[in-house]
Amino acid sequence: MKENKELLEVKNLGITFFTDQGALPAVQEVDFKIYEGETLGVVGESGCGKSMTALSLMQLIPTPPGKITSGEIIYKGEDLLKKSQDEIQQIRGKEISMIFQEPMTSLNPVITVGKQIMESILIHDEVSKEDASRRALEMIKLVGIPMPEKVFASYPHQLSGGMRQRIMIAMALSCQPSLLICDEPTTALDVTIQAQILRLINKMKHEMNSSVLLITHDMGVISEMADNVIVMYAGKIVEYTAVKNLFKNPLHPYTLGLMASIPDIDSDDEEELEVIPGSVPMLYELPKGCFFAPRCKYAKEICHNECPSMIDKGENHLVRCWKYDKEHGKEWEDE
Amino acid sequence: MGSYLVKRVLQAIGVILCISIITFFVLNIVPGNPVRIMLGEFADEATIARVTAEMGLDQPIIVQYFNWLKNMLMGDFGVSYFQNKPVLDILVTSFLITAKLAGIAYLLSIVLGVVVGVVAAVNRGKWIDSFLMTLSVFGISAPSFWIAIILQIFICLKLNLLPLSGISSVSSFILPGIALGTRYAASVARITRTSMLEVLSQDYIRTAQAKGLKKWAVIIKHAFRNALIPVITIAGSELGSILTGSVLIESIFQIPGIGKMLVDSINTRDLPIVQGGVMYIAVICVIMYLVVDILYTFVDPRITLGKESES
Repeated sequence: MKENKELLEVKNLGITFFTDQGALPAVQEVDFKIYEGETLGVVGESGCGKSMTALSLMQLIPTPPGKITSGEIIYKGEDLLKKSQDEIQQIRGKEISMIFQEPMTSLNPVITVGKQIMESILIHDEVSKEDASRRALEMIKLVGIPMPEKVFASYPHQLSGGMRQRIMIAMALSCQPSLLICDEPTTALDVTIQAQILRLINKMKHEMNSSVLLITHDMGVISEMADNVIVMYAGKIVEYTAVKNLFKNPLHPYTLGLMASIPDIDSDDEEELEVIPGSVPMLYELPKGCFFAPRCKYAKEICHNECPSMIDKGENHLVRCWKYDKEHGKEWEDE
Repeated sequence: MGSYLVKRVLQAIGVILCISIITFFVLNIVPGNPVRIMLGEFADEATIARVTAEMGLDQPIIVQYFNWLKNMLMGDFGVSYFQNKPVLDILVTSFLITAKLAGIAYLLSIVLGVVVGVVAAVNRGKWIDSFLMTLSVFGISAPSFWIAIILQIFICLKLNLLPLSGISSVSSFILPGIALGTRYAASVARITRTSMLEVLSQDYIRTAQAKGLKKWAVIIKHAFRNALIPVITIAGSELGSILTGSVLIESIFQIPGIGKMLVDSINTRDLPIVQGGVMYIAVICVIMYLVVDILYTFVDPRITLGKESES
């Protein structure tokens, strides 16, 4: 992993949803660090807690029913969870910004996009309206939108999905945040636009010298963009390492499954695409032991009874699996 | 937008013309001779025939309709059979009185309704939401005449704060305004709450929060305007019905407004007033719907007048 200056550290984060079905643990025991200039990817299936983890950094979890029930979020040396609402509002959009999955619905339909970008600037910087509008226009140019003046005065419904996502990026970066959270920024876009948007995020990241937390379920996106990767399953991190390690030497059976389910264009036509049997457990019926055990072909008795903690396999490769435990790992050695 | 407006205004005129035809013919089919009622039971046949001819009531009904329409276009709504005054004067006098009552009731319903609706939505699920919504169910279900009587008993008779009835001063309109406006306020509150709740769950609200906007700035700048469309719809039709008068409230508080005047005229078969009154109501309603349609376009740029939105 890169050893730049540490920007953000999440320690033992837990998010619980209090519903009619009881207290549901959406995110548990999540630890990670983001360094300056780093892109940290988070992968996992829908509902594995990726988005909730991201939203918790800005304290935007829908409350009620959601609540951060444990942990610390240390940003530039201070715990965000101890800050007041006012202090958090000053960090949102200024220090940490976010781009959402749905550009079609993430912009206010009754305000021109120019004004929406200006708003971000006016909240955080003491500038005149003219300056804010000039900066908003610059941002629109910067994210590569043709005819910026015209787009500035347009309403979101007059723009395409890709354009809107560019506007979202312009808005998120208008105050030069240190951390940009991208929650599946390309999922809702056409394939041809996806690459453009990813390239733009990368370019802007370098220009603004920001760090990026990139959430996706697309392994291809991760391999292109990320420095380090977190693999999440049912609210817990199951593997955390550098992107090269992950693709060269995936350790967790879930990650192996994910890798095997990527279609390979060079493979024989005969070869069937692998699938991970079963589905992600619902939060109200989480298994007692390792959450992945019911779907895991390597699972042994211990896996069904006890959940392992993160095990350091060296080279900053962390994995949550009994197979790699010093003591219990022996059970697998014969295979 | 200009050509659309012209089209809409022409449509409105068409609607008003249709209403004028229906009103005129239906009222003239109803049996009973107004001249006979006007002159009383002791009038002889010759007098009745003379007066009928004088008023043009002996002509074919089609001719009568066109005469009425032609005169109305020139501002002459005819003369009341019984009050011997021009219908237009009577309508204007009652309208000015109803307008005061309607103004107070409407102001109350919109301001109170919107504030209650927004506060309830923002505090969804908390005690204040339950309290306000219970209150609004009460406001919708309580008949306005009952609220009127309760107000009269407590505010006028027990506390002696405001006049019991009549139109002697502006303060006389406060109680009837409250009695009339309560129900409308309650329905505006419920619509506002529902609409706000829908908007507050939208993605762009989260975007606004993620920008670092303060809670109330998000609610007012981003949520409220998006929640306005249903509120405008109901507010427009409410203004229409408030302006056409409330017989119950006007009777209880002895206010000679449009509602009371119309009912009195129907009872005495004072056809010119009834016809004029119905035309007034039609025009008010048609105008309100036109205004509402135009307001939509100001509130939501996705709604464009006359052509499909270009998305």
